[in-house]
Parts: sequence; structure tokens; C-alpha cells
Amino acid sequence: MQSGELDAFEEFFNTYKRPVYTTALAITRDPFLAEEILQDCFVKAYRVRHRLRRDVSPLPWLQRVTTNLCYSRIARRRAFVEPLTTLITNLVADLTSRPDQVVESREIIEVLQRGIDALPPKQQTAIILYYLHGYSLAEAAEIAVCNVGTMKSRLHYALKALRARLPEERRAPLPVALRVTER
Amino acid sequence: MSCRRIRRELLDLLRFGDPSSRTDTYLGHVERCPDCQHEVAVDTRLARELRLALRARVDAYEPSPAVWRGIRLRAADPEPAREGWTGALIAAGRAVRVMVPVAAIMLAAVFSWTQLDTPVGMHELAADRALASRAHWQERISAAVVVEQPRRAVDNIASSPSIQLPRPSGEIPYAEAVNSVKVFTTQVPSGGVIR
Repeated sequence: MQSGELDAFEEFFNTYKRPVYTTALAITRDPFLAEEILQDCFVKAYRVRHRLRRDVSPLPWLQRVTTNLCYSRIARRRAFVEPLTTLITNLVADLTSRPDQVVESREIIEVLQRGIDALPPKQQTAIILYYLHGYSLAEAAEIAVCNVGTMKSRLHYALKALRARLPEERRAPLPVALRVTER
Repeated sequence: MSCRRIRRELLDLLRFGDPSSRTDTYLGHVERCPDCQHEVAVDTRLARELRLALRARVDAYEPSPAVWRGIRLRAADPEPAREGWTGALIAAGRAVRVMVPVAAIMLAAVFSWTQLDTPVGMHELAADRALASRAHWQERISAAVVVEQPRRAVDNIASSPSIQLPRPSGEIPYAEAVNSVKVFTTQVPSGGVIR
């Protein structure tokens, strides 16, 4: 990749585009803006390709650049795409209809979507890195440039805020048996 | 042990997989305590629903091939200059990065040049010329002093056989230049000596 050849860089792009795009889309909720951010991120990576280390994965760096680009773009635009909420709700309806998925109510998902949007950027990033990408605490902390304790704290407050948004009657325990090993 | 503490520790275990030495004790408590069961169940359900909500945001989308085409085009272009104060700051930083070493090199050159002993060759010639120029002006000043002195003082002026004016080429040997500084010695009425 460090040879600078665009063809070689295309392979690099194809390897890492999906997680980067997912992060951008999860934060912005706008597929077109997410594509712009994906492009910006990889153009930046191409320009600094000689400085990228070969001995470690570039993904944490790419994710860091992506989250920074997302929040700078959002701050500039100051406008979320509201119609997407409806689209996502419909998607969730499709998703819950799959037999391999746990059936969840559309209302709860919608409440959580709004709750995620209302979170402060750092907590939002923490939630996306940890619960969407499944990074470990240490990996998420590295991407967010903070220590593990801070990442834990951000996740704790994010979950607290999201839980507070749930309607009282929906805070009932699961009907299934408690499984403490589930993360 | 209080339910509050147990819940906090258990939630850490559930969320982050941080097993502690007391995990078994906590689990034993949860089995007996309906309130803690409820708390843990709500948290577990929230985490699951949160994952579903996040997946719903992204699962149906793929980046289009146009993204790579855009990257190819932009990668071939030189990096565009930034606008606004950020660009100005970056430009200033780059200028400083260039100017500081240049200034340091120039300072070092000037310092080392002033520290050098007068070398032979070009530097000696320059020194001679400087001395000749100085002698020329000394002569002019001394002559002026002479003019302003009373007639009697002028009588005391003794011309030196070593008076040498600059040659037409402008070059004066060093010894001659030194002698030419001592063009006149004027005895002033107060007894002082003006050179």
C-alpha cells in the first residue's frame, strides 16, 4: 500500500471501507453524507499513506478520522435528515419480521434511535464503537483517544440516558431466562 | 452486601465482561433477589435493543462505487489549500518551519565570520581599504582642525615624510595606511594634543 500506487490503495480501500462507512452512517444517519465522509477519510489516508504504520492495523486511525469528520460535518450542517427516522423504523419492522431475529417493538427501537441522536458526540461515538462495531473497551478507548475508564464512564452515562427514555411500562424484565454471559 | 453495590458490579460484568472475584457471590444474590433480577434484565434488554437500533441504521446500506472513483480523482490532485483561519495558521506554520532554519543558518554564518581572525587574501585587502578610508577621513578632520586653529598653532604643524595619499587604484599598503593616520599633530593653545 505504501508504494503509493492507486491500484494498491484500492485494495486497502476495499478492505476497510465497510467499517468506516458503517461508523459514518451510524453517526450521521445520512447515506450520502456517510459516503462523502468515507471518501474524505480515504483521501486523507492516501495523502498520509507513507506515514501509516505497517505493524498495526490502520482501522483505529481510520475510525478516529471518521468520527472527527462526522462531527465536524454535522456541526457545519446542523441538520439531521429527519425523514430517515421513518425509513429506519420501516427497516426495523422488516428486521424484526425475520425469524432469526428477536422480535422487538418498533416503538422501542424508535425511542432508542432518537435517544442515540440526542446523546453528546463522545457518548454517541462510544455507543457506536462498542455496541455496533463490537470493539473492546481498550480498542474503543484507543480510537476515541481516551483511557479505558473514561470510555466505560461514557458508555455508562449513555446507557443511563437511553434507559431514562424508555417508557416505564417497557422497563419490564425479559420474559426469557437471565443470561449473564450475554454482552 | 447492598443491592446497589451488587447491581453496579453486575452491570459492569454484563456490559463490559469485567469478572471480579465476587462474581459468584453476586450471581447467588441475583438468584434470590427479584429487584436485582429486574434491574439486570432491563439492562440486558436495553443492550440488545440498542444493538438492534444501531444495526438498523446501517445494515441496508453499502457505499456506492462512485466513492472509489471520487477518491481516485481527488488522490491524483494536489492537496487543496485550506480556507479561513485554519489555512492561514497552517501557512504561517509552514513559513516558520522554513524561516527558522534559514535564520539560524544566517546567524551562524554571521557569527562565525565575525569570530574569524583576519585572513590573508581578500579579507586583508578589505581591511587595508578600510584603513585607507579611515586615514583619509582622519586627514580631512585634522586638516579642518588646523584651519580652525590660530595662526600660531598652524606654525607648529610638522609635516610627516610618511604622508601617503591613496593611490589611484585605491589600494594602500597596510603600513603606509597606518602612518597616514598620523598625518598631523597639532599643538593647541591649551596644551592638549589633537590627533
